[in-house]
Amino acid sequence: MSETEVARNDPVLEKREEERVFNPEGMRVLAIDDNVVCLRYLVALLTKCKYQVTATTKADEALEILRKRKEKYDLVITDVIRLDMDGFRLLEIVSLEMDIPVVFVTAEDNRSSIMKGIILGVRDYLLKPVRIQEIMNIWQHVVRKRLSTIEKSSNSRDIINSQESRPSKKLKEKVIIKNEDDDEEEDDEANSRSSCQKKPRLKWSLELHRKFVNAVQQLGDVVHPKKMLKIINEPGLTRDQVASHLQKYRRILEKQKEASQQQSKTSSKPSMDLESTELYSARNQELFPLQQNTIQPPNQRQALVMMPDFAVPEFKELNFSPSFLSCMKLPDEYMGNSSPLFGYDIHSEPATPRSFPLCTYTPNACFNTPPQVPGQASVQIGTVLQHAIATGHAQNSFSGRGGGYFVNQTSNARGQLTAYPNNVQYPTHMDLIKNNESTCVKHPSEKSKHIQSSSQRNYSSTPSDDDLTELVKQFGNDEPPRL
Amino acid sequence: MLGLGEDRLRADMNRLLALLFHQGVLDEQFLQLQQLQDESSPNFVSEVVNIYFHESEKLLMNLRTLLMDKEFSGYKKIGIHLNQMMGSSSSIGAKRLANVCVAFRTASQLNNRPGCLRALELLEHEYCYLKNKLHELFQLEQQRILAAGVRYPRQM
Repeated sequence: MSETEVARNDPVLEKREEERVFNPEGMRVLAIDDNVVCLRYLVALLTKCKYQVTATTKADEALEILRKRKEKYDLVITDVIRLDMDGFRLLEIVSLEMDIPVVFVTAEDNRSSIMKGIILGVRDYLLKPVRIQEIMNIWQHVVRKRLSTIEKSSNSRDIINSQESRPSKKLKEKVIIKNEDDDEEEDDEANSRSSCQKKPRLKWSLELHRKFVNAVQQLGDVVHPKKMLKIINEPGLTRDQVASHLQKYRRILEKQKEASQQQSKTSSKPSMDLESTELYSARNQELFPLQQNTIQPPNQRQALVMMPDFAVPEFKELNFSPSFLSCMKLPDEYMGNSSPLFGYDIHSEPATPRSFPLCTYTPNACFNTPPQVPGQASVQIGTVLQHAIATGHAQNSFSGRGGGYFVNQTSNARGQLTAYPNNVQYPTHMDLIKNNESTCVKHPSEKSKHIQSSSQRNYSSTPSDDDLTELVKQFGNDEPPRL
Repeated sequence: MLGLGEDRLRADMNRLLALLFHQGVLDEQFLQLQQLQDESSPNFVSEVVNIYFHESEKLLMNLRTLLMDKEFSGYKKIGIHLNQMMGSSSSIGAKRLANVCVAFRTASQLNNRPGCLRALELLEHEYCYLKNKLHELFQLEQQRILAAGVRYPRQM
């Protein structure tokens, strides 16, 4: 693998003895995903990159494997939305107990979840479907973590936290020595629970971050971590910590810029402001939430926190909008047909070998008229009934639409007929999409819901059911429960 | 003609794949899957796809049960199932299915139950279509492998 060679030639890495031995190949990865398909795919990717993979769908099994400690894992990859245990919870446990870097993989690209993950210390946040290039690069996180841990242990004390109860040599032990006693582990857990610290991690307090931002502004275009180090002038702060913080900061700024460019400029919401800050401060204050009315200088907050600027849409009626077409690439664009439909490959002649009867999946679902669908039931069914017609099941409820089928016929490569029912309108597909630009990827109300619910969540890692906590909080808040 | 059996089958497969790409049913992710198939995992694509079918059918049944339930419990579980569906569909490269999942998710977030039902039907429909097409593809592949194994004497 060329990555390996690059790693070996990199002068920074060559300086440190520990890293010279580090080889991405054979790195031990634990992969956890509820979804078997995604897990299988992930395992294949990881194996292709020559990592050593262990995979499971269950979180408890994964934790058990990690806790056994017989083979120490270098990296944990997990998904976020799971049935048995929340991904964030898992992240917390793994980071606190085992101190292994965690990478998220998820189907949901909700920005607030990403923020939450970063704040809780996830190393990377990948979106499904995962690409092989991203998997080829994840070993970086392991190296980075080792570097920062070793740096940390060579410092005399943690910068922010003077309550450090564990001597720094313990950190070295964690990195180098593989086995720890159960006593130590429990102690560790108890300590970390009580003080809620992540030992090897530098906490960027607001003061420190302010200094950081000042330094960035001072340096202007030419920002170097070394120079920043001098300006910040904080004892014990290392260049690497500044560098990684800078990277995060830049990323957030970019996303912010993107967001403000893409979305229409509406007034920023102060409530979101506070809550987002709360998330960030929560991370700083050992994962405890700040009080709601803490006043923060808006500049700093703006700089750090992403401010989603969305127009809050009207949800009363779902209208067809051009955004629908842009989001869902309709085959008519390919086929050159003007009707906004999915083009189906329909076998219109009985003689042709049919594929539809092969479909063993409940055919009733396709062919029934759902009585509870108001209004446009007959129109919606028209789509599926095309196939009904094609396979010879005449449906009597299908009135007045019979004329339009198979008008436009072109042959595809196999010489079969593809029909475009021109005359029939299908507004229902559009009904499903609401009238908003951010349809496909991000959803503003979803975001506000998420931010709100996550701000109510208590990060003190009491092992309570998240759903329950949320419900309790919501009931306590005199608001209708959001499910 | 006989000797060209394998070639013709391969051409048919390619045409079918091209059609599916053209229709937006599949996307490049499917090609990624094919690239992961090698000597160490020779049936990777069909294995993953079969797992996908198996799981998706369960998910779709669950979704239907949840939505049709008289005591409708709420959208949270639907959201989770939908997330699974979206994740697996996008990992397979079933782009159109994944898009319908997005629409479904939107409807569920708006607490729009009829919209959800419509989305579910669309989903089931798309799924049927995809399943049929992929079955066709795999049958062609199997036939192609068989044809490749047969040696015809050069008579023509």
